[in-house]
Amino acid sequence: MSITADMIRGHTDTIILRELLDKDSYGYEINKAIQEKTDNQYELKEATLYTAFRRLEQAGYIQSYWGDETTGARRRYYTITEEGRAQYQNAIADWAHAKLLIDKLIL
Amino acid sequence: MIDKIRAYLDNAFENAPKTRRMEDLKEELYSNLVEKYNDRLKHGLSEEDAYNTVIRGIGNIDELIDSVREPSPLAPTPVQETSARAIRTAVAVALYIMSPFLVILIDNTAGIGAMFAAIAAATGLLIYNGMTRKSYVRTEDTIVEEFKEWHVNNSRQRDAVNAFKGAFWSITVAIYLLVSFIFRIWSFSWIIFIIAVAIENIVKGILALKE
Repeated sequence: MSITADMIRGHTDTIILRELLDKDSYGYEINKAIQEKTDNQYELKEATLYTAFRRLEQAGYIQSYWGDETTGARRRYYTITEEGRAQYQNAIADWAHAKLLIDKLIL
Repeated sequence: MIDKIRAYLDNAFENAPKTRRMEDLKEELYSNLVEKYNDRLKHGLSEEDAYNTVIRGIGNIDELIDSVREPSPLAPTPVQETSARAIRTAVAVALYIMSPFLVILIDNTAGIGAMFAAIAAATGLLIYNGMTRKSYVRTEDTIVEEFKEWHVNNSRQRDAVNAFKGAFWSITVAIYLLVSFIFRIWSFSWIIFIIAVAIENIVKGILALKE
């Protein structure tokens, strides 16, 4: 499991971009979606997740804004930019290529 | 238990710089952790267990804080630029001092023209020095930064004021010498200095009112 986790961690940025493709979202919601998709087998550490947000924002792939929740603490939402969508396409192309090569090498 | 989450974050962020970005990160973490905590309670965990899973799930929070830390602001002015600035000031002062003698050395209108040209050049140098002083770019959203910005802008203004003052007094001395030589009125031409002081203070007053 820990090797799998390491491999997945290398794709944190792409995972986040994927979650933001359909709709704007915030930290916990994204992490919850990841958990559900993996049947509770994988979950990002908050430190990893929020470092990735900052990195992606700096690169111009995502933007953030504060929600207007009237009750409780405010949420910080993220939205994907055009550059972010392009980056996502690049990343899945890379992944498809890598998967092909690894299959050839180890199967 | 929610208080404990707040306390945990307060403790983790204790030594972090108090910037807007850092406060935002803390606030964002807090709201998300609380939501996660409440979710765990709904799934039947005890308060104690919910708190522990939430905190354990954070991972290396120091690394996260470091990623938001900004590089140190206000790079020092390069030595080269500082010395160029000093040379300009020195030349300007020399021109001021020499300007009245141009009238004595060169006869007639040419001398007067040379004097005013020297004063104009010196004033130009000083104003240039004042204007090219880098305006401070705020790197962090804190009160300290605001003060630094104010301070730099303020000294820019002071440079300009000093340049005009220098020109003003040189011209006064020049006129004094000129008028006294030409009309031989040494006995009472010194009154020009009193007039000059009055003019300076009037201008100062007008500027103060404008602000």
